[in-house]
Formats: sequence, structure tokens, C-alpha cells
Amino acid sequence: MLRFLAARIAMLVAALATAALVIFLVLEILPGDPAAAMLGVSATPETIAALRAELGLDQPAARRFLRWLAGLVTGDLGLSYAYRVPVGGLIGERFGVTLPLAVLAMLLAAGIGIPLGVAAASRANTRLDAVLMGVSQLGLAIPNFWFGLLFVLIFSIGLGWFPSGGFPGWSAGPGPALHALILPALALALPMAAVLARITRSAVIEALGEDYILTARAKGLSRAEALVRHALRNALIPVVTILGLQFSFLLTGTVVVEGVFALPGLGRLLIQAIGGHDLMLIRSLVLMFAGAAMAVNALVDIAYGLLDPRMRPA
Amino acid sequence: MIIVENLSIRLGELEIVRGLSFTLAPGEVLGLVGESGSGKSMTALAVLGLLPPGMRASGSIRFEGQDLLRLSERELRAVRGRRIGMVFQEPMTALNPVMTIGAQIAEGVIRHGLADAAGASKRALRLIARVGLPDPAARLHAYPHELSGGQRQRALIALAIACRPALLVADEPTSALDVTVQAELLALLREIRDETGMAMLFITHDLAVVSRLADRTLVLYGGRAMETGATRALLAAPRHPYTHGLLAAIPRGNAHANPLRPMPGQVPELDRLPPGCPFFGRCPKGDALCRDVPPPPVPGASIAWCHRPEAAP
Amino acid sequence: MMRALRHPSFLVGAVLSALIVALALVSLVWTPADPGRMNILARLRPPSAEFWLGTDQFGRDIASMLMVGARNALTVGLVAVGIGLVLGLALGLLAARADGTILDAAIMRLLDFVFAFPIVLSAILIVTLLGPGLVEAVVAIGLFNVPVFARLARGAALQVMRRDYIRAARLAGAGPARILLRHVVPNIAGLMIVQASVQFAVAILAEASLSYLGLGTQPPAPSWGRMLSDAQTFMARQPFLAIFPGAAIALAVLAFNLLGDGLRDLLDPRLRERGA
Ligand SMILES: Nc1ncnc2c1ncn2[C@@H]1O[C@H](COP(=O)(O)OP(=O)(O)OP(=O)(O)O)[C@@H](O)[C@H]1O
Ligand SMILES: [Mg+2]
Repeated sequence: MLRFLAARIAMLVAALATAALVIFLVLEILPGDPAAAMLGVSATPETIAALRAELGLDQPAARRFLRWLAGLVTGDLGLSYAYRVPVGGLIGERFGVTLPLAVLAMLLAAGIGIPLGVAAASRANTRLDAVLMGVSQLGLAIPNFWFGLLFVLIFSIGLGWFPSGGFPGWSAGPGPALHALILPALALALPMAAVLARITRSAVIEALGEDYILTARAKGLSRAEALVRHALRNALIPVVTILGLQFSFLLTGTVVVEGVFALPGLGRLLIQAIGGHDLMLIRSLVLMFAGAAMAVNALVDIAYGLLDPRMRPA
Repeated sequence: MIIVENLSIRLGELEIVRGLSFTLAPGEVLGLVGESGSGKSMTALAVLGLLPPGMRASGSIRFEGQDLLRLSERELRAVRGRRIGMVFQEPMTALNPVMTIGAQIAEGVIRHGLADAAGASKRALRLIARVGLPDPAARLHAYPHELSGGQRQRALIALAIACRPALLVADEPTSALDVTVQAELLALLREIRDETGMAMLFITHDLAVVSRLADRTLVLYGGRAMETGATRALLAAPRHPYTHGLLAAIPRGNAHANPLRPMPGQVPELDRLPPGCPFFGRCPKGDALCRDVPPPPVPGASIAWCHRPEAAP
Repeated sequence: MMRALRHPSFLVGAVLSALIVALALVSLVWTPADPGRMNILARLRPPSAEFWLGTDQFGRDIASMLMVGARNALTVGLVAVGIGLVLGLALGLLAARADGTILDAAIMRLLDFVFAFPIVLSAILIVTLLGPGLVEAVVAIGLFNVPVFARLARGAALQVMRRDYIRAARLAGAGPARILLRHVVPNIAGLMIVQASVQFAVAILAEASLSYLGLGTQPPAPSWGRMLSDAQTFMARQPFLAIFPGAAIALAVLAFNLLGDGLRDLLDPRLRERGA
């Protein structure tokens, strides 16, 4: 197991390094001089050169890339062009919004989607099943930011139960922060819950048809016990795969939904960075998002081993 | 101890099993023989009340003073696994791949309140040793994929007898295995029967297997009884042309599992059976009477449902 | 054919997508009003006989903008799926033909890597590179459809190529290109069409997200996603602004998802029975 873990982590690190290289190269061919762009038309060649030196842009590309890689480990990611503050600090600050948002959304999606999928499977081909699958089709089709807008319309503007945007920070305790995160998390979670419900349903239906379910029933287990104790654990294997794949959609979803709810998270930071042509910030942010998606995929591989003994290396 | 009378299993219009009757005494082994699709598995599942959705059983299955066909689901659950154990055909798929062997054996014991988790685990260990798996302590925590086919079937047997049932239903437990493993398992089942005195309904399509294990045999075709009697007598002098054909199909000197193909032709579809004897289309002796009138049971050295039984020798 | 008419998701999907296509086509020659004309006197109106679905903050007719927006969405879907399908099919067939070689492995690893980047994130990166705009967004979405089609094409092609009649054709002297085009492509076409329908829906959703962020379709071209981002400022005063464009997106995505599901069932009835 340890060998497997080590190998998987090594693979992850290699993938991350490749991603970093690709991102760096892509942004390197970007036309335009960020220093010139920041200083505007009145800048003299001397002030531009000074700023280039300050930002380290006068160094050769290879050295800048290596410095960035080292910075990813130490946290020293350079200065944001636009904000003139360290990128590491900016990202750390916004992390406290996006991470809880993503985790909350993931929990909501699993908490809604998996039980509904199990319910549909255990009543397969009944009216309940048809209704649940119809609703999940709708859930798949509705973009998360429209869910967000509708929630704001109904629960904030209409009923006044929730703030329509903004984030009070964690200093006032988890209550107000979670209150501000719950609608955006739900908006992110619903389309994902729809996917999970559909996958769970077909996985459970497939598992319920397996011979070991008959063995379990022959032991004296009820249908429900056989479902929970035997079918579900097997059905979770494909569900976890999808959960991992969905996580990358969730991350990009945060970019959009943070916009809807004016949350000061990584996603909004990314959009602002793109608007401000803030390359230092963009490259680290994009790598963070891609890296998070890759890390979750690695976690899924490891979770496989826990869920499915056949995948465990001997 | 179990008396099955006039058991019929229907799926809508289709009669998968018709009017089947048999009995089993404690410690007795009844072999249920027939080609693929003859209704053996459905008969076994009817005994446990686990027929696939849509199938209905009628008649009666009297077991320990109750009619199993009239029990509620809750009452049936108390019988399943506790008084009647079942071993399935496919050792590769009948065990849950994500649960340890020990946990799967212990589950029924705990479910029926015979022991707590620790006690059930100890019992599972003893059972694993009893069915002859090597290194029982390790097997307790092993997963199905770490066992060979024969070992898994042993684990399934341990699982089925974990609550010391009075009746074991075994649906082709050895068909998927090679001959030597098959012989070992048959010996194991015989030993367990001798030790515990449990009765066994043993399903197979292999007359050679029946001859080694079953006290009595019931031959099934198209969901109907063809012939029944003491195994020895039945095999020595079959009275039904179908049984005759089955025996003739066993290659001499090599009596291991071969798909039964006693006569030219296929088992007909259940919805295309003639009104009379289901074997009519393939029977060398069939005539108009056989086609139109269901044959009555004809007593003799065995009972044969046939208008033209072989005379007793 | 009769089976198709009785299949509920196919039927609903086909009718809805036909409706959207029809609206988009009609918008080429006629809309209820000029979608670009601003009218200060008729700002933020609710639906009425004059403005069927109301007006926006500039007094533009929402119904007309949605119709033109449908054209925009369908174009995005068509081009993005076209790019993904053509390149994906080519790469997938190439990999299948080179089955087991380094070329095959190289193509598949490259596609895995592209696939690991979430679609909108990739689009953001490309848009950063090329500047925001419809063309850039569509190219980005299209490129990230490539791995989906390539994987599918490779898997299906490998299955087809193992069949006996392909061996027979090869023995009869047919060249690899001929075998791929005459025998393999027709056999996997159904599968690719099903996936195209699903990816069409994905593309519409992705373009809506990008345009909502201001990275896709640029003004004044009407786009459902951008209409929603404009609506956000004014929806407290006129909630309809936020409702109709979102409903249009959901309906279009639903239509092509259902169409894909229906086609899949009709092509392979076994899948439906397994509940997939
Ligand atoms: N789940 C099911 N639904 C509908 N019909 C079934 C089902 N299972 C079995 N049957 C039908 O019931 C009949 C009897 O099947 P059964 O499984 O009892 O045969 P069998 O004698 O056990 O055959 P085998 O040797 O192949 O196991 C067959 O005609 C079969 O097609
Ligand atoms: Mg059977």
C-alpha cells in the first residue's frame, strides 16, 4: 500500500510539474509587455526597465520558470503586477473562501445526489424513479450560475433570508460565513447532485443484479439490508470516480458562482487577474485550479484501493 | 422434514415448473437433475421464497410445521440462512468482492442472533477450517479475489452452513469447477451431512455427481417431473426414456461433467410444449397419446411419469 | 421509426431541439422587434403584447434577443462539436490504427493531459492568451472536446477492427485507409453522433458560462450567458430579466441531452435495460 501511495504521489508531482511548464510556456508567448501595460502610455523606457527589473522580468525564461517552481514549494510566488503585493498572500487570503465553498458544495452534492440515486434504484421503473430521473435531467441542464441567480432572486431579494452576496470573513465565527456560503454552495451542488443521482442509480441497479445479492438474501437479509450492506459499497466505486471527475467541474464552477455572489474567492481573483493582465497571478492561480483537480484525481485512485480490495496492490 | 406438494411456478402465462412433488427426510440427499432451463434453480429459489420478481409459486412447501409459500417476508427471513442454507452455482460471483470472507460468513450468524460479532468471527474461523481452507486465520481476512474457484466454493459452503441449517439447498455447487476439485467438494458435503444430519437438496445436471451423493433422485424436464426413485435403482434401470437417454449420454470411463444432451434436439421453449408429455418431441417412443395426454405417475422400482415406461427388469 | 416516436426522451429531445433550431432560423429573416434597437422610454418592461418577454435595461426586446441568442448558441455548439469531432475522430482512428505502439500511447497520454484540465478553465487560459471573444471561446471549447471524441473513437474502432469481416477485408487486400473509411467509420458513426449530441449540450453550457464571465461573446452580439450577467444588476427591479435567458439555456441543454440519451437507447436497447 505504501509503495502504491508513493508511486501515485510521484505521478501527481510529475503531472503538476508538466502542467506548470505548459502554463508557463503558454503565458510566455502571450504578446505584450506587462510592465509597459501597467505603467500606461506616459511611461518612459527607463521606468519600464526599472519595473521589469523589480518584477524580475529581465531574467531569462528558464531561470524565471525555476524560480516559480521553487516558489510553489516555499510560497514565494512573486509580486502581483496589478496589486503590487505578494501573490502567495493574495492566494492564501482567497483560499479561505473557495476551499470551504468547494467542500461544502461537494458534501451537499453527495448528500443530495447519492440518496436520491439509491431511492430511484430501489424503486427502479416505478413512478418515483421516473420523477427523480426527470428532475435530474433538469438539474443537468440548468447552469450553476442560473441556479445562483434564481436563489438570489428568491431567497435574498424575495424573502430576504440570505445576503445576496459578499462574504463577512471567518473572524466573526463560522455562523455568518457559512450563512453567506450556503446559497452559492447549493447552486454549485445541484447540477453535480443530478449527475451523481444518475450514476448512483445505474450503479446500484447493476449491483442489485449481482449474484452476491442473492447470497445475502439467502442468509436472511432483507432487501433493504442487502442494498445497504452489499450493493451500496460496490456501487460506490463508480460513484467515487465520477465524484473525482466532477470536482474539476466544481472548481471551474466556483469561478462563475463567486461572480454571481460577489464572493472574494480564488475564482473572482482569477477573473480580475485576467482583466488586469496580471500574469504572475494568473499562472499561479491556473496551476492551483488544475493542481487541485489533479490532486483530487489522485485521491480518487487512492480511495479506490480503500473501496475495492481488488484494486489494492498486494 | 420437507414436503413439497404440487409446486408450480408461473411467470405470467408461462408455467416454468408444474405440479412438482417431493419429500426429504433428515440426513437425506435428494438429487434434482435436469438439462439447462428445466427449472431446477427456480425450484430451489421457490423453497427460499427468493423467486425473481414477477414469478409466483403455488402448491405447498411444508417445512418444520410451516408452509413456506404462505409465510410473510419477515417470517421467511427467519428461515433463510437459519433453517435453510443455500449454496449457489457461480463461486466467482456469489461472494461480495468488497467484503472479507470472514465477515460474509459471520454476517448471517449475527443476523440470526446466534452470536455477537466476536463470537460470530470465531465461528467463521472454525467453519473456514472445517470446510478445508488452508491457513484459516489468514482466510478470515481475505477477500474473494484472493481465493481460487474451489476455495471460494468452500467459503460459500461455510457461509451456507454457518447457522447449522436443517436443510441445505445446493444449486450446482460444483458445475463451474474442474473434476478433482469437484470430487473433493462432494466428499466434503457428504462429510458435513454425516456430521450434522442435515438434509440436502442437491441440484445438478450431472448424473455422475448424483450417483456419488444422492440417496434419491428426481429427474426434471421442461419443469415437470419425469422420474423419481432411489438413486441406485434409478440409475441401474431407468424406466423413463428421458432418464435412459441421460444415462446413455455419459461417456464410459469418464463420468465427469458433460452438458446433458441425451437425444437429438433442443429443450423446447416452455411456451411451445405439447399438451401431453413435455418430452414428446424428442422421445423415440412418443405417440399421439404422449402428445395429447399428460402422463400419470407409474409406480415400479421407481416412479416414472410416462405412458410407455420401460418394464422393470 | 415507430420505436423512435414512442421513446419519450428521444421524442421530447427531438421536438425541443427542432423548436430551438426553428427559432434560430426564423431569427435570420424575422424577429418580433429589432434586437439591437434601444428604447429609453421602454426600459425594463414586463412581458406584454408589445414586448412578449419584456425589455432589458436599454429597452431592447428580450424575445428578439433570445431568438438571435439561439443562433449564437447553436453556432457555438456546431463549431465546437465540429472541431472536437473532426480532430477527435482523426486522432482516435490514428491511435487505434497504431494500437499498442508508442504513437498510440503518446496520443492517448497527451489527450489525458488535456482532459485533466477542466473545460472552462482551459477556455479561460486560452482566452487569456488570445483575448476574450466568441471565436476564441469556441475554439477553446472545441479543443477540449477533442479528447472526449478521440477516446470514444479509439475504443470503438479497436472493437470493430477485431471483427472477422475486417480481417477478411484486410486479407482481400484492402489498405488501412480504406478499411478505416469504408468499414470502421460507418460502424462507429452512431456512437459518435450520440456523443456529439451530448457534447453539443456541454458546449452550449460552457459558452454560456464564459459569456457570463465576459470572456465569450462580446457586445453587441446577443448571447444568453451575457444577457444573464447584464440581468444581475437589474433583476431586483425586473426579475424576468434573469428568468428567460436562463430558461433558454436550460431548455437547449435539456433538448440536446435528451436527444443524445434517446439516440443511445434507440441504437442500443441493451443499455436502457441495464438502467445506464
Ligand atoms: N429471472 C428470470 N426471469 C424470467 N425467466 C426466467 C428467469 N430465470 C429463469 N427463467 C426461466 O425459467 C426457466 C427455468 O430456469 P432455471 O434457471 O430454473 O433452469 P435451470 O434448470 O436451473 O437451468 P441451468 O442448468 O441452466 O441453471 C427457464 O426457461 C428460464 O428461461
Ligand atoms: Mg440453474
